[in-house]
Amino acid sequence: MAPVIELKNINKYFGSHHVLKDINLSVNKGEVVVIIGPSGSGKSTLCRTINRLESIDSGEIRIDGELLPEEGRQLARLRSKIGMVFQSFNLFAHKNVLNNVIMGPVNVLHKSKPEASKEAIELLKRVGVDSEAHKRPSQLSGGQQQRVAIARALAMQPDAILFDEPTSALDPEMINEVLDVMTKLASDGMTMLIVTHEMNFARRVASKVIFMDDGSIVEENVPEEFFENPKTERARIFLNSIKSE
Amino acid sequence: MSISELLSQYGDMYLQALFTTWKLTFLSFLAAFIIGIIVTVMRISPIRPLRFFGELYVHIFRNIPGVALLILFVYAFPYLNLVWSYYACVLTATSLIPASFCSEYLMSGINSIDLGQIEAARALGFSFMQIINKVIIPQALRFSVLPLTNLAVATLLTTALASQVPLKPTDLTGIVSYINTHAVGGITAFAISAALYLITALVIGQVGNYIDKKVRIER
Repeated sequence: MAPVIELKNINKYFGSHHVLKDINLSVNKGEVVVIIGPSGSGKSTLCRTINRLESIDSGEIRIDGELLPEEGRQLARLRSKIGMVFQSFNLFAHKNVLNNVIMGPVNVLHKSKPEASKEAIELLKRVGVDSEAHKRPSQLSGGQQQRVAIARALAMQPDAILFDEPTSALDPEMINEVLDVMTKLASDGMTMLIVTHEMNFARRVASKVIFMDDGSIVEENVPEEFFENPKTERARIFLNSIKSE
Repeated sequence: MSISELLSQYGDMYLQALFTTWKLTFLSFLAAFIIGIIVTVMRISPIRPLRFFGELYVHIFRNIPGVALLILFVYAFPYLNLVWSYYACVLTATSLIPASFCSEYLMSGINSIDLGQIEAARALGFSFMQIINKVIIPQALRFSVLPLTNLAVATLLTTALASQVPLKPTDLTGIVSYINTHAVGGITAFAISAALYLITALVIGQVGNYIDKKVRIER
């Protein structure tokens, strides 16, 4: 079976700056791939290229074996199969929580409103914010907003979900409520690609850790080995620099 | 003439003039609103010629005096075998100009939308037109209620252009000229029209505030 996400020889430049260097990566069904690395290493950019929120200069991206085109309907269709959760939540400010969750199913999957709403309530229960269904995003805490964003991604019944630093904008006391939801998703078998700085979380849920530095994938390893005995010097230096904090 | 004399003699005409002004304002604002949205969608579209013509529209009609446009329609267009009714000439002039301002207000409303929401919509698989219809326009409109209220008042005042052509029934400004050529209404004739403009503008302002409170996005 084809990997859910497959990247081949991806290169990307911001002007003369080579931000992604020959990236090869695949995420198989049910895998939780965690990308870590110092800031500026290209991890977020990589995450965003997967559904072409960032363009690439060369290489190919496949979703379920299908080549992701640069634009058009086919791109929109493939995007709808990959959920995305952002650092800054990005909920639709003019819609209440419930309507945020049903926006995708109603407009893209053409589900009826009652059907989508029924499913949305279940999803909001699953992430623990069903009691806020009729509030506006601005009335919610950051942790609640991010859980709604996860429910919104789940509502599309995606083949995989991308998490671009989902807890970086949260107050410390709200980080765990989001990580708990993500841990539950992982144990339910959701395919996920997560960019994060939460090392303990990475160690607990990852089936594969990708270490990036300076636009390249430096190391790909299982979490136990990566955190105990990294293969590369650069990963060792990075891990030591975090420990000493 | 006193106010009571003026009103007893020309009261019906004032009423008709008021309706003419209201009708012109309503139709102009409606047209300006629709054209404004279309021009704005052109200006943010990924298609370069559309963006170009959208920008061109705004630059042309934001910078032409209404009277000049009206003169063009009334006196120049017939040379091109385009003979419009006076009403159509006025209505077109009082629609095209506010439409350019409407687009400017909507653009500033769009600039207030957090770019992340557009990315979220793209990530969900929305098409360009769905993003416009479901995310951008609804929020841009909410952010633009107060500027658009001002535009409605400005449109009301712009309809005074109608006084420059022989309309029947004439508008609130036209009726002042009419009265002052048929009788000695003096400044009082102006005052009555001014009061009617003022009341209309106040009502528009109240409606705008009410809509703004209803739809405002708290952040």
